[in-house]
Amino acid sequence: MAEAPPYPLNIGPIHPALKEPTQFKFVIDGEHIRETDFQPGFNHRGVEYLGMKRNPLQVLHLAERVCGICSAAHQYVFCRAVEHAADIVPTERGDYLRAIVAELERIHSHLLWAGVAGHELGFDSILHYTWKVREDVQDILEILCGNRVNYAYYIFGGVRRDISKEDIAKCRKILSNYRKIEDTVLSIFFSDPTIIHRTKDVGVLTHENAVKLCACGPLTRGAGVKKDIRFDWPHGAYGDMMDDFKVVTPETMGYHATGDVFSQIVVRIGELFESVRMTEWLLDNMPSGPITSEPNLSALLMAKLRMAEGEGVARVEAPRGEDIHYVRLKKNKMEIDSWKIRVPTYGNIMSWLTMFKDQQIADIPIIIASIDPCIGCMDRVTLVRDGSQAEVDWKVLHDMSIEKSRRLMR
Amino acid sequence: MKLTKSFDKSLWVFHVNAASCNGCDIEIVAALTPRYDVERFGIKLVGTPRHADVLLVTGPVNRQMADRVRRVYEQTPGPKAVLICGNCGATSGVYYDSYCIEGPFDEFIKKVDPNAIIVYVPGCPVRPEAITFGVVQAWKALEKLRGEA
Amino acid sequence: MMKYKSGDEIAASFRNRFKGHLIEDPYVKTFRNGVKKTAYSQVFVRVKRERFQDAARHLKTFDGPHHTVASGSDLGDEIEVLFHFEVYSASHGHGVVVTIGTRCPKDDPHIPSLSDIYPSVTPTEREKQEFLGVAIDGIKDNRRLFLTHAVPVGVYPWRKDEFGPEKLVRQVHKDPSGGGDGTRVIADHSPFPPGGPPVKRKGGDA
Repeated sequence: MAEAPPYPLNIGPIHPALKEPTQFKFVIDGEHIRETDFQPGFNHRGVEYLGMKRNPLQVLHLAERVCGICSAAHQYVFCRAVEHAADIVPTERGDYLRAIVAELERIHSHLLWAGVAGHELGFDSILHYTWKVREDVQDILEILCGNRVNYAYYIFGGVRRDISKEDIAKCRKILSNYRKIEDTVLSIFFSDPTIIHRTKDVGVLTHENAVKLCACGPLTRGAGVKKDIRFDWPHGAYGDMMDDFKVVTPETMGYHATGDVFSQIVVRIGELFESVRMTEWLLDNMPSGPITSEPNLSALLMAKLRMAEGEGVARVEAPRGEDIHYVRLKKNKMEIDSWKIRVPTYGNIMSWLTMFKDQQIADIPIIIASIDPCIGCMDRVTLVRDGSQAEVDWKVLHDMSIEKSRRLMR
Repeated sequence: MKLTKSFDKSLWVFHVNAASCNGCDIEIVAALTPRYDVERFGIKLVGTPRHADVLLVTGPVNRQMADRVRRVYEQTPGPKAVLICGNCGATSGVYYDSYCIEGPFDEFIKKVDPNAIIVYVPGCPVRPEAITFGVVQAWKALEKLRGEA
Repeated sequence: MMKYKSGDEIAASFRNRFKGHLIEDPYVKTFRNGVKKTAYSQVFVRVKRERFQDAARHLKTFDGPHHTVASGSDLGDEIEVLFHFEVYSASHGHGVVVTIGTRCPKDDPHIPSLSDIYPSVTPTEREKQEFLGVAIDGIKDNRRLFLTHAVPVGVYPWRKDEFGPEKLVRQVHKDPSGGGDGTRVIADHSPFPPGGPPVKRKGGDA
């Protein structure tokens, strides 16, 4: 005999996020989600503990391996936190080059997200289109840093590699391609009936909850809260851009900030092209001079970091939201004394859970994807019914999502 | 185990994330999308290990995932190959002295199955070209099985 | 037009309000970057445990406090927990990072919860309980967060004493034949063993 509703529904745990490989536990009644709980930690690697056993230069290497998608953001914010703790001042050109790589990373990450969101809606043409145009920004990153992922670009006091005139010309050419496709991308995401049907009024985060639960990143901007670390806390080159650029919210793009998945699409696509303009601005206004304040690594490590005593907090706006590191250094101690990382998804956990309330099972993939939680694929869903376990894989859930798209299109 | 003729033209791959940092994972997706497009060789990602010929593993295996990864390996029907993408699976990478790492994936899987076919693709992260090359190596390793009874 | 207070004014406000209850004098770090040298600052406030909740409440007198995360560290005889906030968030250029911290001795590892004042702190408070072995009194959700399936109860990864995770570390390069056998750590949702958080007496055994 079947149990009476509600039923539990577990999703996870195979999930490739950093500290947020979340196992979701839903309580469902028919097609509707009544309660949501989550169990992260399946991807826990003890990065902070490892950092407390290594010296800052070694941790720099570890910091970018916190997350492969926002590796530049983690290296950037870790460098800043150590600089704040040890009173190292980065050079002006270093600041600009840092911001350029951070913005390029935002372009690649938002394109990645747009493709994955399309995939979750059963719209694979979008996945292939956005990942095709994403390869162009990967080319710029490879020109600048020498690698497609894990750039190893940042160093305390500046950056490791300068940009040559020829490379600037190459970058400008590729960026101008993005300006050309802007209208196409906007029309795909803002007026395609499938996307509108599947994302409007789905997974709503209210303005009130966004403020109360301290959401961050495009999630909170989609709800109409103008939080953006680049402008709120004007560090590095962003202080110089305050007058020329504003926070992107649905209002600035001509839409209402309703906090649903569609608002987040609007914010992310808007930010994507804003980042293209920002990169061009940074290339135009880049000052000359040294790229790092201390080119000699061993001198930096021995004299400055070893003798430093102090603590520092640094925050940057990673593609997914606010990324904050806290670092404390002790005199005559090579290792970092204390290190805490907070990645954007962690800050959005509480808001995320409220978004599932009374939504349908077929909308689970897009709501999970909507906050960009380092998804790649969650593989397996276990439906527990009648006390026995029946395994439903991610594909079935994905098929349900496709089926819903088709139904709406009829 | 004898392989059928249809086997060597299309390898189906199941991707297991065993606490990876996502760097390799996005490169795997990049390998599937238009610029690299491994699907033209008949290689595709599938949604369940029961359909797979190759297990593509990223990341060091941590305590939470160890049991689950072993179960995924056992669920994959033979003949099968394991493709370890990235340094973490081969050596545990930068996480080697963490408290919740069960060790490099190859050692771990050899305990489960001493005869496992393991292909290593080094890199942190691996490049899409390297992943494609690695799948071809897995292909060759599986083709060798054809001679065996 | 509202008046934004600077980091120095915020530090002074805490200094006056919590005189006699401060662990150290509140201090400000101000940085200037870029070509225009736009200033941005961060404030560090450390108050005694009794007034910790009051300090967090006092932060609400400034506009738009945004809680980000709590960090923590093992100081030897004491455990320190720092809550990082930003005031004047969403203000386009006036944000100040304010860190409010407190300490507790290892023989009495208890810290009051801020979840009544800031509802978003629950995940990070759960994390502090499991990583530092410090009890957060009044926490809204007493389960573990990240380590449920990873680390046995009684091991706290950020502790640098006998409760630390050293015994779980397997040195891959020294022990190549080792490796786990894939046995699953039984999921345990309780952050502490039945007797409560680990108590370390000064100079004595645990």
